[in-house]
Amino acid sequence: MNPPISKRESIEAEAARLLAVRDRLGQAWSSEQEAQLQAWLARDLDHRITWLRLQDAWLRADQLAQTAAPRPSLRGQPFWWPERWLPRWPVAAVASMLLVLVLVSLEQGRYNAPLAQLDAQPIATKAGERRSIALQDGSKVTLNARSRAHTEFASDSRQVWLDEGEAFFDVQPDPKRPFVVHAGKDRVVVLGTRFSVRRDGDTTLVLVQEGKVRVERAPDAGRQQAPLMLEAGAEASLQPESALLQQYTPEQITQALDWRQGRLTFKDRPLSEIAAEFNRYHQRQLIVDPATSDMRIGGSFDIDNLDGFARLMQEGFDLSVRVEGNELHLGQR
Amino acid sequence: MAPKASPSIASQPPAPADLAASARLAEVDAWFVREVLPLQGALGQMIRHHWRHNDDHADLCQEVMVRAYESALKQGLPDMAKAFVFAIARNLLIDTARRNKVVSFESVNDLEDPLVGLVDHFTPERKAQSNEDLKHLVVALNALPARCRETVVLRKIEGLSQQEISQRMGVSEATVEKQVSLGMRAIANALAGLEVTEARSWLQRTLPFKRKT
Repeated sequence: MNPPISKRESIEAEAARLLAVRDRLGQAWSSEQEAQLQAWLARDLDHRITWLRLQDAWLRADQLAQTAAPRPSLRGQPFWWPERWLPRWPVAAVASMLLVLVLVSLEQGRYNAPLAQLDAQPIATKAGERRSIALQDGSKVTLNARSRAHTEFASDSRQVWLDEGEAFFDVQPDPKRPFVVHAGKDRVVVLGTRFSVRRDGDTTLVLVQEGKVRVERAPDAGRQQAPLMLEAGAEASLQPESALLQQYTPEQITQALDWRQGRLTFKDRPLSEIAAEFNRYHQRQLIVDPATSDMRIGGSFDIDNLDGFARLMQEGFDLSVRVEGNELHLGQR
Repeated sequence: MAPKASPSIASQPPAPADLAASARLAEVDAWFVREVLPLQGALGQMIRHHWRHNDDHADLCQEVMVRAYESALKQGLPDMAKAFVFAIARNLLIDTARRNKVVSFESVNDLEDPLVGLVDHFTPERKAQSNEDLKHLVVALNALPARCRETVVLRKIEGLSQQEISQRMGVSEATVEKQVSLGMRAIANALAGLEVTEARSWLQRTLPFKRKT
């Protein structure tokens, strides 16, 4: 025995029927039929909402064409960005590399070690370490704690592999030499901009402070994925099969990049998340009791002052702090 | 996703008196497709989270969207579609709980609090739709009964017209049209974040023919 068909379902059936008729007729859909449709849509907002929902879904189903076997698609390109992969640059032309003097940048403050030359050697930072590195082209990379990267520069390309951790890039514009950051299987392509890339397990976060970058996804199960364009203020959270885009204000972006100035800034974040963030920078680890892990905290903290943070939790939020070897346990009193 | 203009709607010249009204409708339609429809998944999640009664979710979701549309039509487009839609959802849940004596207030207790929890959960964010959509589309497609699935594949992947499909499959055009409408509904519900199992049971109730196994 079938359950009764609800009002919503019968409206949905009628909207789908009308759309299917229009889909069948195409150009032959008459003005009379259009008038009937408009009358039906005007009768009830439920009709209109359902029509818009189904029509949009049916249009979006055009994307299924991307799953077609690898031959020229009948339905054309992915619907918002043309597939365009960089040409394979000839490897031969590694010739005129300029050495850049090792400079101490005053604005870096006490947190950053002197700028160092980054070459094909991998460079890495330990817990609690931050380093700014000048690249041959005048661009600058700032590596956050526990991060590893290596580069390959040619006359027509600039490539950086972020093997682990987080890095902020201040890229010198050079239209003839695209700047490419490889994060796992994803690639971030820029011409000149300021942005950061962070790797957490199989998630890659790309945050753009200035300018514009293009993120090229690795094919998912052999299927090409459309590249994403990110503008200033955008953050993309990339996973092998999906991407999440968020837009932030300039202020929020600056806060998210505060680690470069040796500060961590949070607004209403759970204690567990803040502890995890601190733990990226220190050998000594904050361990948060599950009962307090959801506690919401905001503020700007000195990255290096772990004890100060623990004391603040103790005095300001009435938590207990217990030291066990290399661990600081935070819990309820 | 940018709304695609429907040529048939544009081709219909409205009476001059209706011009302003229909331009207004077109504007709200475009806003609705662009800003509200992508929220369906998050909205469904929010409703499921706060409303433990199983059956009403799709109806509640529909009602929220109707109210959002109505309000945008009467009071102008809101600046923040997401906050706007979720505020409507919250009010609807509270109203429904008050009206419906069966529901205890505990089930919407956390809704009575200021929106803190919600806002944090649903800060303005947009799925990069191509990837997520495609995943849902493929799952929905695979869950369709064979004949319906073949019809959608021929229409959307092979790009055949309904006439060509009826010749290829050796069935009447009316049958193809029916399969298109069923496939369309299944796909719309999959994109709206309804579980595929739900979509499947819904299909089994709705399909006019028996599945051969």
